[in-house]
Amino acid sequence: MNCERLSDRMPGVLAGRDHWSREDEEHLVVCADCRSEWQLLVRGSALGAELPGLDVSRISAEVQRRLALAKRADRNRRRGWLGLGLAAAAALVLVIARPRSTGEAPASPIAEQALVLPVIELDSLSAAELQAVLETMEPPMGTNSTLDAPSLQDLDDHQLERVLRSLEG
Amino acid sequence: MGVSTGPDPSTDAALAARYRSGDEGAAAALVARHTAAIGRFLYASGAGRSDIEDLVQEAFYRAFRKLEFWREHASFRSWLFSIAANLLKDEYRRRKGRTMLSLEDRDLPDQSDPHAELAANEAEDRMREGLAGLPRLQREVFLMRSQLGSEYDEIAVALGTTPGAARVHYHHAVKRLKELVV
Repeated sequence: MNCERLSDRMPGVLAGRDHWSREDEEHLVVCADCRSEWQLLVRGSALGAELPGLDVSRISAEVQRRLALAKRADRNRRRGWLGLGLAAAAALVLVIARPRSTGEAPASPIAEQALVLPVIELDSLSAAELQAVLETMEPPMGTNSTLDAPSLQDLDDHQLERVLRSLEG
Repeated sequence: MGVSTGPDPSTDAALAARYRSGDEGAAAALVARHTAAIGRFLYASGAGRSDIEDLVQEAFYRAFRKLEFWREHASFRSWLFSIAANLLKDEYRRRKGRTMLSLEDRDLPDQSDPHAELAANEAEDRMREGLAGLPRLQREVFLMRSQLGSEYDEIAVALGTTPGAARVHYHHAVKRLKELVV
């Protein structure tokens, strides 16, 4: 008889899944080691058998009450995180969408449309008034004379006379 | 007539699945099924009688909160045992090592045979004292073998160790208990 094999089967016999054969029982009678191990397991299995009954319904109700509270707290925590995430996303969108104060003109279609909107207030001005307004404005980039093209102030008297003559035809 | 061949709705796994899908009655069924065993395990592990109900409640609460971690390789009961054992360890630390074994609050012996009851209580006390004096894993493996009838494979899964190590812990426990108790 192998004591190790008997030891391995002891929990199964205790739990009712297995049973001792005649040979096992005979071994338990003669083998003090196996017998004392078996006695220990039987004692261990009986520990607490005389405990007064625990109140299952009270335990169950209290466990479910605490679980419900914990679930509610989890939901609130998730909502809090969701709100925080949405606020962060909104802030990010605002930062990205905001036009820069310097640099190139806004590239969005709405900004481009705004640039070509007619300025109705100018319609009522006379030609002289319009000219005065134009003179206060800088010419747009690229429509001005090139940097190396001379202006009228750069011409001498002879050259000015030739320009005037060409304008008069 | 077809016969339903689906999983048994009364198994621990089926009840746990029902609880996960929102059936609170399934949780109540699991509590009813395992409360006594967990109470006995805690008592055998050295918990005081007056603490057992609170500890059982806490063990179930923790189990349901972490139900997704139950892999079903170990039985639900042995998994509960491991949770209860950790709980007891935490409680022991919280009390800064003061023993939780309370032998003074046991019931008075039955007057019909006071000598036999006294002897039985003394034997039980010696067993509990012996178990309380074991290293934690030795105690847990021994109790899973004796109270659950668990095999080493299942114990190993529940306690996060190997079957070989569980076997070694068991044999050490038996050796020490023989010296202390038998």
